[in-house]
Amino acid sequence: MLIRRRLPPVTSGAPPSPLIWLAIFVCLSIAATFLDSRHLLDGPRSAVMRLLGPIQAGVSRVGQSVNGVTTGWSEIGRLRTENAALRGTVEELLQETVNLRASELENRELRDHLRYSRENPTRTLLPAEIIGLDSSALLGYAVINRGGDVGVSEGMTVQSTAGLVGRVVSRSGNTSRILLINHPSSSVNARIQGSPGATGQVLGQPDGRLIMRYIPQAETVRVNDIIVTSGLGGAFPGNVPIGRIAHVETRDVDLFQRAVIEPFVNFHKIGHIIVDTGFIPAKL
Amino acid sequence: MKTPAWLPPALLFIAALLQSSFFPVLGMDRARPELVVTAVVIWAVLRGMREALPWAFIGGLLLDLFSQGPFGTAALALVIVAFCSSVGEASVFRTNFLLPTMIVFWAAVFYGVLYLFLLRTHQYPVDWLGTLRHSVVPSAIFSAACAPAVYWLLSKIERRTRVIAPVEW
Repeated sequence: MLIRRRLPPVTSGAPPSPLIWLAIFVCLSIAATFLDSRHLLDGPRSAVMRLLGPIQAGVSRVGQSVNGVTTGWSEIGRLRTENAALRGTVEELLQETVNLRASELENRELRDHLRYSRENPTRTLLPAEIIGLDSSALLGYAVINRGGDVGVSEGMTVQSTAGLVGRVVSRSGNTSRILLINHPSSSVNARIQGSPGATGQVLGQPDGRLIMRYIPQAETVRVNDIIVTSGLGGAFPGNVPIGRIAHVETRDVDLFQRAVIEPFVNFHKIGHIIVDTGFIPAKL
Repeated sequence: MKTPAWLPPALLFIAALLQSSFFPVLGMDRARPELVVTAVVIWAVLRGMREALPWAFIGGLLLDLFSQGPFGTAALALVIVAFCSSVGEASVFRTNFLLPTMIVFWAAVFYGVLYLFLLRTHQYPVDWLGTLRHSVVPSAIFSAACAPAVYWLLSKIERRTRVIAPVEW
């Protein structure tokens, strides 16, 4: 009867003792070390490495590719977190920038107001802030944060440091409504600075522009001439800057000239204004 | 069936190549699996010292070839480690992967210490504590982690190449 049994692998003949095998391989290793220390293996070693070099390079490239993929995957989470953190930082910085810019503008306006007040000591000027501005061209009103409580009344002139803004048309205790001069229902008596005879009326237009009408034909009107209030009619004080002539329309058949005015005040960016509480409009 | 002559060098060559060229580019520059040591130790457990010693010598020479150290140092260290590891051959637990895993860990530590000692005898500067902490022990842990997979592969090869002799009762 035959059964199969596992046997340790054997070599033919009488196997040498394991210790002899150990001694053989230890001696071979020491011999290799000795030959290497005498630089006798440098040639064969470099020849073998020359053959193995490309294989090593190939394996290394595969490793780099694997590393690139695994690193990419592992970095996705980190990049997401970092991206979220950076977005937060950007938003914070953006908010900070907006605040700083607003502060800077406010500061500049207040400095201008201060300078303007010093330059006009005879006037009683009340600083105010526009808290509401009509966005449509149909209702050219603005609301300011000063009202009857601090002496604001209907008809008072409102201006910025750049020029005329409008006039108060109604008020409550702590707010007032301003009719802007670029509103179609607004009309301001004006004149060309430096030409006492060149007077006219500055009218608001539906598109927000200013037109000066009724300029006598005899007057010489040039582009870039400065337009100021004339004070005629008593609705506005005199010599408040309005704007600069951008275009002149003169036709021989007309009785008057007409000019398009580029206002000094940017009505889309008004923040702080001044109410001339010392000027009481005349009621004609 | 006797183990084909080409098999040990081929397997050890692949292991040495992975150890020298693949793992380092994965960021394992100081600590990496000692695949050659792992393979030699597991083969020593499976087949005993007589077959493990040639594996150890060949594997050591391949490691020496790919390393910049003195030639023969890794071979000598690995031969001694294989000799010591072959005590696991007699164990009744050798069919379980846990024993080879434990043996691989301690064998890798022993190999590291022995290799450092041999380097020191060649007047190489050796930072014992730092190398043990940052290279030898982590490498031994990596090697032990790889041991089950290497054991699975080598035990398959071992079963296919096992010598079965008919015995008459």
